[in-house]
Amino acid sequence: MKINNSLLNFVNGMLVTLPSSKTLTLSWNFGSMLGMVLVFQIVTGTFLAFYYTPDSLMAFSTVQYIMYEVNFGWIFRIFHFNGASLFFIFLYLHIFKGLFFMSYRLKKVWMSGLTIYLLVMMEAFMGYVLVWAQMSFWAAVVITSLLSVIPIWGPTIVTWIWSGFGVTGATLKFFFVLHFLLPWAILVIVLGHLIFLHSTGSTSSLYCHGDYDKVCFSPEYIGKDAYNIIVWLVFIVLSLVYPFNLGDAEMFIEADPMMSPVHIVPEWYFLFAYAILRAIPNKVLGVIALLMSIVTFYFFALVNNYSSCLTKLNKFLVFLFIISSVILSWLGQCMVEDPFTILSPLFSVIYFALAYLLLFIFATSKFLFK
Amino acid sequence: MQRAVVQGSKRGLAVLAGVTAASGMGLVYALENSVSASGDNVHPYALPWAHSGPFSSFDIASVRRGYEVYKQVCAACHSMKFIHYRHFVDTIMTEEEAKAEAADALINDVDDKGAAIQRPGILTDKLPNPYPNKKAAAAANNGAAPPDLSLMALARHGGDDYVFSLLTGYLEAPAGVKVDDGKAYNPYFPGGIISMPQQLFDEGIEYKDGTPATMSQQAKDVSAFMHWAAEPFHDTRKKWALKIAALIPFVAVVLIYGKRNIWSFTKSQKFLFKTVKGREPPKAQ
Repeated sequence: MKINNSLLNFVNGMLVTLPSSKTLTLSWNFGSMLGMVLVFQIVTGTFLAFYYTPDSLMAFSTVQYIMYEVNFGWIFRIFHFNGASLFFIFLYLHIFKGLFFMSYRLKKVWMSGLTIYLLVMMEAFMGYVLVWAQMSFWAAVVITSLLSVIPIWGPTIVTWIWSGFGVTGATLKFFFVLHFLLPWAILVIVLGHLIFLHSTGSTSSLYCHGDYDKVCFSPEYIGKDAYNIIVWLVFIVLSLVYPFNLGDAEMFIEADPMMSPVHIVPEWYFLFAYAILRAIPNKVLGVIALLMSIVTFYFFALVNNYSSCLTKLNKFLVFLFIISSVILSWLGQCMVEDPFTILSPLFSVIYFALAYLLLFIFATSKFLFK
Repeated sequence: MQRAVVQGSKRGLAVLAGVTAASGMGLVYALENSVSASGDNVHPYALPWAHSGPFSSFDIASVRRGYEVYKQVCAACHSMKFIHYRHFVDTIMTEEEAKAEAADALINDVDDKGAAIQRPGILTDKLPNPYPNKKAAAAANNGAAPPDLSLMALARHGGDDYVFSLLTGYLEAPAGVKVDDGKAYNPYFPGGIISMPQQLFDEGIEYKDGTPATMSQQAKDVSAFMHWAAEPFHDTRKKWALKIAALIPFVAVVLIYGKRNIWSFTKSQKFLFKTVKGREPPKAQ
């Protein structure tokens, strides 16, 4: 199908005529699902922004105003904050699928994807703070304070982000502006992610990217991606039945800068990183470990290996890595007491050991078949 | 032979992975349960609330009685700043009932000359706050300001179970636990010492509908009312969930059939590699 319009031609090349391997399973729906969730979050978030006021004295009340007074405002808010969880569910599935199929061989795709992941984490964190409830306020205090470990400029950066000498209404406005703007940057990077991906085509379940025996993206994969609608409907039902199950009770108490919650816990999607942060008593090393828990995956793009993959061993190690991440996430919400103070460092070590073992095997396996 | 070895190693890996996953989850389960047993307060017991099922709605009669408890007992100290009288309309009351309820309350306001007055409430008024501000509330209650109850059902771990357990859980302090004047002992409250003394007693109020007002009945009703106040949209959201859940099988059938139809040609393709004379593949050595 040829169209004499450059923009439509571009869309046509992305969604209709794109040559796609026949062997893409349902695991390849995760990416398209993420695109849909991003658009959904932008739409619901924009609706919420109409009614929200980023002021420390009014923020919590305006959130409740949305819940109690705005016509069906509650449904938009329920979808928006549960949509963040849906985003992370598919983000992690997408990353694990990438690790399973060694998708890091598509370097630009992998690195842009990791960048999107980091930005989405920032976005979710800032959105969490906007509620201005007890847990979100104290999460802002804890997380922004981490930046003080940056040598020389750390304290200045923290003061700059706080827009003062503590987390205040000025910080809230800072976060609101970024929370509003960042999704558009993410959208642009997602577009880049897609362009990089489509220059070679997806990694197939045969671990190949070659141009052989392909089909057009439409109608085959449009039909397959339509399965996402079922997941959407299930998500909507679960959000309506259990809207607050993934949140914390402290999110319903207005922020009080004079009284911290007994037990500060982030949202479930940050728990693995939080467990790694808490596992190391030294603040600087803890922050470095936290950062490395994600940055480590950038290193995969530095290795060139297109000739051999130990697929079974790789899958097995990724499976272990998933288990260790789940256990770390659970440890992240446990109290700081025995045996968790021992288990957290142990599983942090296992997390990094598995990640670097994956990298090591990927880097060295090509020498086995020379 | 080689295939057998590969299959054997595959099976071994699968068993190892399964054992690792099972032991990991077992560890989490064992430790999670030990955590529930620790802590400095008693965990509330799970109660069979009328609205706790995935598609269950509020027992509106109970919520209405709960409002009576709130109005006659709780409202003396606690505000409900996010609830307006109009929220009652077509949810737990008729419009006339809600108007009468609002008119029954005295609302602080200013007249045309700016002088402070008290007037009967109207539907757009919030439920009245017993104290002018937080400091006044704290000063009148031994330094501990009674919290706003609008979101209380969601703002405590345990939710409705916690509210019920707390209201019915007042006990004599055990030996060794010091309770200051004006405070009370309640094992469900974190730390055990609570600034709010026991408020509910058998026949402490009289219900309009004639239901015997036992302490546990009042606690149950006011817990249901507080949950309603925390999310007045509760019944609507579950109704929508039910409607969408009913739609899922039909959408799924259409999408699955559509996808399989689209893919039927690709999936039923067969490739035949035909050797052309003179271009035979190299023979295996």
